[in-house]
Amino acid sequence: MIQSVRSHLILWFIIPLTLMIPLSLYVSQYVLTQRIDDSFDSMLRMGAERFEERLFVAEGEVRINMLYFSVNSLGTGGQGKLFYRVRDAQGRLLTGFEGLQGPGDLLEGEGFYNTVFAGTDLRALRLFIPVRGATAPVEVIVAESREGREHLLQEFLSNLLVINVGLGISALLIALFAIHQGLSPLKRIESALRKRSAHDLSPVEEKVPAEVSALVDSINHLMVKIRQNMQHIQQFNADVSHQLRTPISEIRVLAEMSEKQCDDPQLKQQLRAIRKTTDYASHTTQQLLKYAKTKSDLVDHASLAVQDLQPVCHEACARLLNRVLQRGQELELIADERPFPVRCDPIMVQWLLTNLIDNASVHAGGADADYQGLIRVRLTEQSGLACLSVEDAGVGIPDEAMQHVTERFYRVNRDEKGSGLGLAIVSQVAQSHGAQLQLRRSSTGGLLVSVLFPLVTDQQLAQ
Amino acid sequence: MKILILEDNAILAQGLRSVIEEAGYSVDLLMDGSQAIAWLQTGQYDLLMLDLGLPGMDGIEILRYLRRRNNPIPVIIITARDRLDQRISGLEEGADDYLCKPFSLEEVVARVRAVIRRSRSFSDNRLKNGDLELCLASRTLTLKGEEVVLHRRELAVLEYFLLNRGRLLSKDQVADSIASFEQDISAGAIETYVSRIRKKLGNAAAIRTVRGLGYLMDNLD
Repeated sequence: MIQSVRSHLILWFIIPLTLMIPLSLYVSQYVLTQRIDDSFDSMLRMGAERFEERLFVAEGEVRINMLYFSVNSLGTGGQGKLFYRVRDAQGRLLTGFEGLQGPGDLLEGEGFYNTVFAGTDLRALRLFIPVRGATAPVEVIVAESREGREHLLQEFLSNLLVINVGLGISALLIALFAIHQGLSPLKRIESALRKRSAHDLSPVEEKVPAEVSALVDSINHLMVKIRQNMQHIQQFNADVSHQLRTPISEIRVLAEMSEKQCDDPQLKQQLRAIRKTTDYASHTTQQLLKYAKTKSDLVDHASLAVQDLQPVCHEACARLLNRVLQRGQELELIADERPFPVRCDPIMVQWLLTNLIDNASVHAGGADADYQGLIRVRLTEQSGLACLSVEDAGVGIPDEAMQHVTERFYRVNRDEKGSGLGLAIVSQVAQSHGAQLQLRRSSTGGLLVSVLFPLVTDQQLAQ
Repeated sequence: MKILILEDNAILAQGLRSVIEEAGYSVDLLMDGSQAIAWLQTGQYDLLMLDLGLPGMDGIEILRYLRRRNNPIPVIIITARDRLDQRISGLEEGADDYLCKPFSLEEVVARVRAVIRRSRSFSDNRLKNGDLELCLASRTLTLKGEEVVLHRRELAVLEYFLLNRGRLLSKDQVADSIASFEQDISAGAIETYVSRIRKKLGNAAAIRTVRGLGYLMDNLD
C-alpha cells in the first residue's frame, strides 16, 4: 500500500508511459515495415522493368543486350545483394543466375514473393515482359536481399526510440514538476504543522487552493477543539486543587482542634491518624497535579526561557530547609561558582529539585526508620552539561527497583510514606527539558540521582 | 496584641481563632471583605490574617489598598492556591508571610509569633532566643542574665538573626541588612562576624551554617 499521494501520482504516470512507449514502437515498426517494403518494392519493379529496353528479337529468338549493364541499376540503391534471372517463354536462360528460384506455386503470373538464394533471404519480383516480335513474353526475376530494408527500418526505429524516450523523460519531468507544484500547498501545510510545537494550537494560516482549504478548515477546527480541551483540563486541574484544598484544610483543622480538646488517648491517636491522612491526601493531590502539569507533551520546549539554575536551586533548597532540619537531617548545596544557563521552566525545575530532596528526606531511612543524615545537592558542570544531583547516605534502592522508581505509584517498600509520584514527576520534568536522569548507588550506599541539563552556550545565547 | 482574621470559611476561622487566642492574642473575626477596610482603619490591630479568596473584596485588593496608603500592619496571607503556581506573589504585594492550605494550627501560631516578633521588636525593645536577650534601646546583650560585650557590627548581625530566627538567611542578605550608606559589607566579612559571635556565645548563639545556602538561627522558644 503506497501512502504518499506523490508516489501514487508518479506511479500512475510512469506505468502507462512505460507501456505506451513499446506499444508505439511496435505499431511504428508495423507501419514502417509496410511503407519501406512498398517503396523498396516499387524501386525493384522499376529496376526489373529496365530489362525491357535490353530485350530484342533476332533470328526469331529473344536476345538480351547486356552491354554496359550494371547490376546496381536494378536495385534500390542500397547495400543489398542483387540477383536476376531472365528466361524466355521456352524456359531458356537468357542471362542471370539459373539457380534463382521462381515463385513456384506461390504465384501465378506477375508479382512479389520471398525466396532464398545462396543462403540469403531475398525479396523477389517476377515480371513477364513482352518483347516486340516475340510470340510470348520473357520472364524476368529480380531479387534483392533484405539488408537495405532492414537497415532503414532499424534506423527509423532507433530514431523513433530516441525520440520516444526523450519525450517520455521530458513528460516525466514535466509531470514531476506539476505534481510538485500541485502538492506544494499540502507540503506547506505539513511543514507549517511540523515546525510548530505541540503546544502551539493556533489556526493554520497558510494560503491554500480551494481543494485543500476544506482540509485546512478541518485541521483548524480540530485545533480549536484541542485547545478548548486542554484549557478544560488545565482549568479542571486548578479547580481540583483549589476545591479540594479547602475541605482538606477544614478536616485537618477540625482534627487538630479535637485532638487538643480530647482526653481519651485512643481517640487522640485516631485524630492524629486523621490529621496524617489529610496531610497525605493533600500531598497526593498536589503531586498528582504536578504530575499532570509536567507531562512532557504538554510542555513546550521552544517556549522555555534561558535561566540560571543557580538561584533556582538555591530557592528550592531554601524552601525545603526547615522541613529537612525539623526531621533531624541536614541539607547542603555545593555549586560551582559560575552561572548555569539552561533553557527551563524555573518552577518545574524547583518541583524537580524539591521532589528529589523530599524523596531523600522521606525514603532514605528505609521502611522502618527515619533518615538522620546529610542530603547533598550539587550543581556542577560535566562536559558541557549542567549536572544537578541529590545524594543521600541512606539505605539506597535495591538494584532491581532502580528502573521502576520513576514509574508512577511505584513504591520501593510498599510503605505509605509518599504519594508514589515524586520520582515520576522528576522524570517527567527531566524529559520535558531534554535532560538526562540517572539513578545510582552513591559512594555511601545511599541514592544518588543526577539530572543532566544541556547548558546553553554563549553562542546560542547570542543568537 | 490584637489580630484581625479575615476568613470566610467558618471552620477554618474558628480553628484559627481558638488557636491564636490560646497563644495569648485577642482576635476579631470578619468573614466578608467589604467591611475589612473600615475595621482596619481603626488602627487597633497588630496583625492581619488575610484569606485571598474572600467574598466582597478580594484579599490581594485589600492588601494593595493598605500598602498604597502606607498602612504598615503586618499581614499573613492564607491561600488555597499553590505558591509556586500563582505567579503573582503575595509577598511581593507586601505580605509578611504566606500560609498555604492545608496548614497545621501549630504552624499558624509559630508564623504569627514570628511576624509579630519582627514587627514589634522596636516598640518592645527586646529580642529573646533561649538564654539570649538583646535590649535594643541600650544595645546590650545578656546571656543567662550576664552581659556579653559584642562589637557593634557583631551586634547588628546578631540582631538580624534574632529578628529572623527559624529562617534561612543567605550571607548576602545578612550583609545587606547591616550595610550602611557609608560602607558596604562583604559576604566574607559576615563569616568573620558569625564566627566571632559563636566564639563569644558558644552554643547559645544557635546559629547553624547551612553549606551553600547560608545561616539559620534555631528558634529555641
